[in-house]
Amino acid sequence: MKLQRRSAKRGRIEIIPMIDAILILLVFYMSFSTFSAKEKRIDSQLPVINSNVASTQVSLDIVLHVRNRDEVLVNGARYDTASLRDAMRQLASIGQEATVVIEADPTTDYQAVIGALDACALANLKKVAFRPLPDKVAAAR
Amino acid sequence: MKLKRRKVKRGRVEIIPMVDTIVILLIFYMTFSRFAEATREANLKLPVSRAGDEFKQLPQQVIINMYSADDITINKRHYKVADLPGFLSALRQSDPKYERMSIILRGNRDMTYKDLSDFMTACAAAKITDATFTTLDKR
Repeated sequence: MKLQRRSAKRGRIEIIPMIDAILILLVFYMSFSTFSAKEKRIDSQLPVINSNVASTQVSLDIVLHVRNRDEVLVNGARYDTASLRDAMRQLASIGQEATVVIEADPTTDYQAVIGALDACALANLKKVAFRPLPDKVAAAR
Repeated sequence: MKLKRRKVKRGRVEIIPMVDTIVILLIFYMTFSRFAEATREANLKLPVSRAGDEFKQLPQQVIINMYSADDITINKRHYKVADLPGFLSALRQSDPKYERMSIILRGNRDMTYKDLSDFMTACAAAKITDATFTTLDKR
C-alpha cells in the first residue's frame, strides 16, 4: 500500500493582527509615558491681610529666607538644599508645633520656594506660612 | 422541475477583530478622559518635590494654573493677578459649595517669588487662607 505524504503546513506571519497588536502597544506606551510624572500636593497657609494686625497672624518661630535653589537662611544661618533638610528635621525634633514662615527675594524662582516647603514637609512640620513681599517691593515692576 | 433551495449563510460574530476594536476603544477613552480634566494645564512645568500627598481635588477647591502674575488660567480662561480678588469673590457668592473656598496652585517652576507674592496678596484680599501647592514627584 502506498502511503500518502501529509502536506507540510507552512508557517506564515499574519500581517493584519500584527499591525493591530503593534498599534495597540504604540497607543498604550504613548498614553502612559505622558502621565508617568505623578502630581503631588503640599498644603500650606496663606497670609491674612487685616488692617488691625500685622500682615501674618502666626507667631514667627522659624524664618526661612530663600535666596536661590542652593542658598536658604534659617533664622540667619546659611544652608544648602541637602543640609536644609537635616536642619529642618533637627528643628522639628525640638518641637513640631513650631511655625515656619517662608520668605524669599523678589527674583527667587518658585522651584526654590517649593524646595524650602518640601524640606518642611519632609521634616513633618505642618504649620507653614508665607510672608509676601513688602508693599514697596511688590509695587516696583 | 424541482427547485434547489439556496443555502442560507449563517452570520457569525468574529471574536478576534471585536476584541481588537474593544481594546482600542477602551484605551482611547481611558486616555482622553484624562485630557478632559480641562482645569489642569498639561504644558505647565511644575516644580518637583520629594514630600507631598497624592493629588486630590475637593469640591470647594479651585485649581489655578499660573505661569506668571500676568498669565493665570482658571478653567481655560485667562486672567491677571489683579483680576483674581474680584473673580474669586464672585465665584464664592455664585455657589454655596465655594463658601469655604481654598485654592490649588499649579505654578510654573520658573515664575518668581514676586509673582507668588502678588498671587498670595490677591488671595488674601479674597479672604482665602488655605492653599495647596501642586508639585511633581521627584524620582
